[in-house]
Amino acid sequence: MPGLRELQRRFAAHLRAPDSAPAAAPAIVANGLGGARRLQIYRNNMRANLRSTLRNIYRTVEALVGEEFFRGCADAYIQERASTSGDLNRFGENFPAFVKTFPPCAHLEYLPDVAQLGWICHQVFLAEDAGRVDLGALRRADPEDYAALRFALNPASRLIRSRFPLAAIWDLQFQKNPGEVDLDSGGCRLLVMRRGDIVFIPLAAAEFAFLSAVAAGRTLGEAADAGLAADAGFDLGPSLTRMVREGMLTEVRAPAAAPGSAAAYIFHTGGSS
Amino acid sequence: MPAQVSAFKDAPIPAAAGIGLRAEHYRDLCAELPAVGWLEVHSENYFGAGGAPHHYLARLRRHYPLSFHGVGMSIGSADRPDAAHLARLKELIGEYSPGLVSEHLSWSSIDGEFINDLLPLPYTGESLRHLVEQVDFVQHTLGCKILLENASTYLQYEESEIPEWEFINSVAQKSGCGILLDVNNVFVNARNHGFDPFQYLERIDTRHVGEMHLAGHSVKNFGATEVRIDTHNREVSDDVWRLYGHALAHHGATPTLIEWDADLPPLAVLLGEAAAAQSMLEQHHARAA
Repeated sequence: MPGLRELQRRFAAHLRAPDSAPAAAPAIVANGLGGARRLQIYRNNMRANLRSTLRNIYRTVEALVGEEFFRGCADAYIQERASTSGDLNRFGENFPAFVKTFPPCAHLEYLPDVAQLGWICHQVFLAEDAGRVDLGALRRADPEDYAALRFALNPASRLIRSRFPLAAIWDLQFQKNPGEVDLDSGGCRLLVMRRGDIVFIPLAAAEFAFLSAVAAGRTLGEAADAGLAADAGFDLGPSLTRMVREGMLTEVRAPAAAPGSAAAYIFHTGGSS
Repeated sequence: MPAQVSAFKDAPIPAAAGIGLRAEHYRDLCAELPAVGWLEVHSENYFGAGGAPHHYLARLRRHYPLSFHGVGMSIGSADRPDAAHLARLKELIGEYSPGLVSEHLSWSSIDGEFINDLLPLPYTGESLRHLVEQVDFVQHTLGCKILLENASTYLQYEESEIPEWEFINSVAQKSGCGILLDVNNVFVNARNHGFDPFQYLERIDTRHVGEMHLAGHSVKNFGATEVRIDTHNREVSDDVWRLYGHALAHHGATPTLIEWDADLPPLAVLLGEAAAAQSMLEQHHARAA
C-alpha cells in the first residue's frame, strides 16, 4: 500500500499523462466504472478548470483565433505547464511566450503581443489601488531637488510596446461587424491602466521612454533624459502635468533618503483605500 | 483595506441562509442589498491586492456577515500548505474579519504542482494523523478555527479503511476544527459510491457542525453507470432538499449557504434558493421551540 505522498504523486502523474505515467495508478474501487475511467473524470475536470481560467484571461486571443483553435492552444499549454499555485489567478502567465513558440500559431505573428496584453489587463485588474501625487506639496519642493525626485508609476498600470496596432486588434472583438485591421499600419506604445475600467492610453515614444525609466526606479532627471533620447523635442513640463493629472504617476519621493525608507516620503500621497 | 467593517465585525454567521458572492452579482447586490443572512466568498478571489474585487467586498462587508471559503489550500496534501498562501489568507482575515473560515477535506497539489481541483483522500490511519497535524498547523498559523468541508468524490481508493463520516468526525475531534457539512456532496457521494446519505448525516457529530452547503449537481452517464458531478451550476435538486430537511432535523438550525459557481443565474434566482432554505430553517426553529 503506497503512503499518502506516493499515492498523490501517482494520482497527479496519471492526471497529467495517463499513458506515460511512471508508476501504476492508485488502486481504485471499480464499483460499476473502472479506475481509469474514474481518474478520467478528474482529468477532464482539471483541464476544463484550467482551460476556463485561460479563457477568462485570454478572451481576446480566443475571439481572434476561434474557440476550437484556442482550445487546442490551451490544452497544449496545460499539458506543458503545471499550475504552481492554489490561486488560479496566477495560472497562465507564460501563455504569451508559449503562443510564440507553439508551431500552429507561427503564422499569427501578432498573437503573442495580444496575449501579453491580455495578461497585463489581468494583472492590472487585480493590482493594488493607487494613491495620488500631492500637487500642493510638489509645488512647495525646492526646485534644486526636482531632477533628483523619484516618481512611481501607478501600481495598477503596465507599459506595453508592440510593432502591431494592439488597440485596434483588441477592439475587433467588440465590433458587431468586425472589419479588418491593417497589421502594418504601425506599432503602438501603451500604458494599460485601471481607471474604474481598464483603459489603454497611447503614448508618444518619448513619454513611453520616460515612463519606462520611472517604472525602473530612475530619478526625474534620468527619466527626462530617457525621454529626450527617444525624441529630442520631448517637453517634460506638459507631459509631467498630464501624467500626474491622469493618475499615471502616483507617488513622488525626495532625493535625500534611501529609497523605501519612511523618511524618504516628503510628499504625502494619500491612498484611495 | 475595508474602511469600516461595521456592526458585523467579529459577529458570528447567523443560523440563516446565505449566498455565495460572485463577481457577476457585485453590482446588483450593492444596488439592492437584499435581505439575505450572510455572504460567502472564495478566499482566493481576493488574493489580489486591490481593484473591483476588494472595492465591492469592502462595500458589502458593511451590510452582511461574511464567511471565507477556500478552494486552494490543499490541506490534505502530503506537502505542507504553501506559506505565502496562508500568509495572504491571514492578512485577509485581518482585513475583513470573517465570521467563518473554511476549506475542503481534500488535496489539490503534490510536490508544489497544483491540480486546482478538490481531489479525494484515502481514508487511512496515516491520512488521519496527517490531516490532524495539517489542521493544527493551519489553525495556529491563521490564529483561528477553520471548518473542513466533506468534498464530493468520483472514486474510492482500495486502501481506504475508515468510512468518510468517521474520518471527518475524527479529524474534527482530534484537531479541534469544525465541520462544514455539504449536503449536496453527501448526496453526490452516496449515489456515486452506494451508501445511505441519511445515515451518513446522522453519523456526523453534531457538536462539530458549524455550517452547511447546498448546491446543484449534474448527472453524467458513462455507459451504464451514472455518475453525479458536483457542478454548482443549477438549482438544488429535490433529493438534496429532502436530505437537507433531515440534516436540519438532526443537527439543528445551522448557517446554510447556497453555492452557485458556473452558469450563474440572475441574482433573483439565487435569492429564491436562499429563501427556500431560509423557510426550512425557520420551520425548524419553530419545531425546536
